[in-house]
Amino acid sequence: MSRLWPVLFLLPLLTTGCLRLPLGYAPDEPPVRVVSEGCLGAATFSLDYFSEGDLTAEDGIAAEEELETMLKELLERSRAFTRVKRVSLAEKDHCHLHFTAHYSNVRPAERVPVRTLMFCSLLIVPVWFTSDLDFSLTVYLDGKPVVSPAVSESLRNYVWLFFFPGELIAPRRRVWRATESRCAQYLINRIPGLHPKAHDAGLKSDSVEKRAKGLEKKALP
Amino acid sequence: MRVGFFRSCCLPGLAFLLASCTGRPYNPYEHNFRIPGRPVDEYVRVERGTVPRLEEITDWDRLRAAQEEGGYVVLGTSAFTQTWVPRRFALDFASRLGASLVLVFHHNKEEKSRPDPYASRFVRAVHHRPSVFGPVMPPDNYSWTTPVFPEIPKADGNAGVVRYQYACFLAKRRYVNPFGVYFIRPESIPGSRDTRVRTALVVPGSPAARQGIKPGDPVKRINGEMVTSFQDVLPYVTNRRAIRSLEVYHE
Repeated sequence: MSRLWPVLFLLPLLTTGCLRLPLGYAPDEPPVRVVSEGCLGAATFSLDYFSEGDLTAEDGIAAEEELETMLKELLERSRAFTRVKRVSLAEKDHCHLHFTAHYSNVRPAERVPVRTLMFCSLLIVPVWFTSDLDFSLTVYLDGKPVVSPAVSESLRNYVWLFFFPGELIAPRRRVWRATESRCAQYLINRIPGLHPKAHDAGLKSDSVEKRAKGLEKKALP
Repeated sequence: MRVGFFRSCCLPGLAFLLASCTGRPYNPYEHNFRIPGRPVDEYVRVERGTVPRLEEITDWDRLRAAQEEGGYVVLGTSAFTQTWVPRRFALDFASRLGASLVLVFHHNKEEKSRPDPYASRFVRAVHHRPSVFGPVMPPDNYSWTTPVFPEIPKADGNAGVVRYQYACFLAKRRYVNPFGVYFIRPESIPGSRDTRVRTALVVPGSPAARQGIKPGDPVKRINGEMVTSFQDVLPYVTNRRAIRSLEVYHE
């Protein structure tokens, strides 16, 4: 046991002992097959990026530029657009996609006891905290918002000494990137006009979609 | 020695972790939830564990359209100011309610008069009236400040910015009323002492709308029968009886 103590002291310094598991709020969807290539023409997109609760790129979350690149790649990969370009919301084109990414970490009231317990017990007592990503997309057609699907996903971070291989098995950046990509794909799949069955899972009588198509309001018989 | 170390550290830790998976965390949406007592048989309850659909709304017309055209019923609403509350809490709570759709709305407002967010230790929770009578905005006669959320608001890059967040929990109506009128229990109207059943929603273009019935009208008679409680309305809510005529008090 006496030989084990120095190792126990060093282990938290060498490894993070953290295992991150997504809680499964965002469904894992493959990209929808588009009606025809470039069916939605040229589009612009903008990104509002918020991060709070000491959550930085060091924790594995994508920086604004990385997220922008990922969104651009996913939009291009959908093959629904002839051209995709990032602009500010004020400079939006005929078809504009406005993404909002909001990262939030464990609340301050929970953070203090979590950190105290973590450091005082040298990771022997397991602690956990949750980081959240709230991602939303607003599709503008001719300057008017048409649909705004949103998705939320959480990562539960289990910190325990015995989870030291966690960082090697699932590095924080990879886990976060997979989560962000899954959320972004979910939102992109819900762009109207991308695929006729893109909205089957949700509201069939979405009034916003009807308004976008210029359909009249249907009254009950 | 190794077995002893395993027993002393590893097993209690594992038990602690497993116990964490069973606990239900504090859900602020649940705390701010309004409109209790919506009858379960009025809407289609989604299965427990199903993640409801989440949608960001930019105007309250979307909520009205979901009710009028989408056939959704508002189970309740929640509102917060000051801190960002992750939407997973709303999803958790909606899942427990059996709601299938969550509409969320948020806007940030610069507040230069209070640049230090640490000045306020508690979140101001504004409760607001149900959305069936119009936009979900806190009316003057139904709001108060309550220290229900004991945490210090975050300041990182957001000093002086106040966030307003609203969530509406909706579920698909079980019965479509051909007359185009839906009712609300008097006890579901916060702040109201009136015991009369009121119309909650009138579908545009429906026979009810053509008769000039408006949302919020107290119900007097249905098919010539006097309405004194919600029990009198239930057969019409569940489509066991059809509404042929509806008389309301004009206020």
